[in-house]
Amino acid sequence: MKTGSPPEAVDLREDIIAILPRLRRFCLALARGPDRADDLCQATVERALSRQGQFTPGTRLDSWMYRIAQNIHIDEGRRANIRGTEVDVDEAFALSGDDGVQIVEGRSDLARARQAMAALPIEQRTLLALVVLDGKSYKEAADMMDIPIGTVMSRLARARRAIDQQLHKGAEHD
Amino acid sequence: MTEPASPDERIVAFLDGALDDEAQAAFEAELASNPALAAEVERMLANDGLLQEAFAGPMAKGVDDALLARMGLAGAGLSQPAASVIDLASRRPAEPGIANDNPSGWSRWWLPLGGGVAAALALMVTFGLGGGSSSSFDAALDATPSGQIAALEDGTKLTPVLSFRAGDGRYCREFSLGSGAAGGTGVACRDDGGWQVEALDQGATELASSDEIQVAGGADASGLDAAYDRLAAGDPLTGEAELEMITSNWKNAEE
Repeated sequence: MKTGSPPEAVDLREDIIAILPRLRRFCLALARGPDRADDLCQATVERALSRQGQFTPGTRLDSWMYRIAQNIHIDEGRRANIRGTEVDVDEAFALSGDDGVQIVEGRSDLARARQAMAALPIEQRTLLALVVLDGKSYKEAADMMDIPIGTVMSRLARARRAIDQQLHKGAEHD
Repeated sequence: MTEPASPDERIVAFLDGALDDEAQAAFEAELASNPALAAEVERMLANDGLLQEAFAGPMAKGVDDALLARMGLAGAGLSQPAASVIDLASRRPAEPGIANDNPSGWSRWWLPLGGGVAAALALMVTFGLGGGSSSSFDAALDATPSGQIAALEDGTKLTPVLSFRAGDGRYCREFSLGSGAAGGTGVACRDDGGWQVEALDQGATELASSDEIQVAGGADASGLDAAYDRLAAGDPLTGEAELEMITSNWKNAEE
């Protein structure tokens, strides 16, 4: 803990608590599994707290923290690749139910939806999490990820197509 | 504005409320006369709903002290009570008619509710918490933190704005229904029978015609200010206090 902080230092803790459920949801979508999501969420909060001075009051705290989560997640992915660790997408969400408890046959619709999300490339997964789960506008998502709105639109179209294919695999006899 | 570059992108822009008013009206007209397109949109909407439900876990879970302590967030709010007031201005929905440029996280999730089109869409997005007896309106107000968008069973988007306690002890929430040109705001208070609507402004009155939403006998369509006075509303709950109410299902400590 820091001592001797100036009296006008920003204290984001209460605001972070207010958005914590949404941050946890974002991390769950990004990290592709409940355990990794908890780790990512904790790392995000720690980094946010250590960088409180860099947050501009009046701007959106959630966007700022989502960006932090993204960067941590990407850095961890790079480190894992360098070490040669494979991230097994099939393992993520594969056998856990809603409460993280392992069940033998995880074939519920919700489990399949989580797996479909986990199978997406990271940019598509992030955009679905921002727009479909968190309700962000295209402009906000574009600003957050530093890409044009057109790219947001095309990635969301591809992402939803991919999700649709995953969810309706084997149900071709419409 | 950025135009959709393909049919898929057009559907997606429609689902996310990112079409401008003209393009949206054109798309809705097409939906009414093109069953294949309507079926496609219905399917994408159902997939969205499934995704939302699949990742709804963190939203409903309580945030306990142990978790807060692990994250270095324990002890917050003890020294800075002023910092805990919710900034109402930042939570107001976007002005009607503004396309694509929504301030502060308010998407235009506008879905057509006119008879024919709604029937064709047969919307299946539900706010799936516990199913059973209560309506999706009740479920949405029970579990959605302010600022977060929920979808009612008939597809209407509902976004709680803030929570407060009425003079008679009931917990109440201000919420917005729909958005854009067909949006509106209301206030509902919770008793044993669920969430009763106490006030609706004009825009919301048109949307609240389904059986989902019970309008209390003395409901006030003339404006929310009068309702706040009538209810003897207390100050808005802090984010933390609201979350506690959500996880305890709006039960008083004294009950």
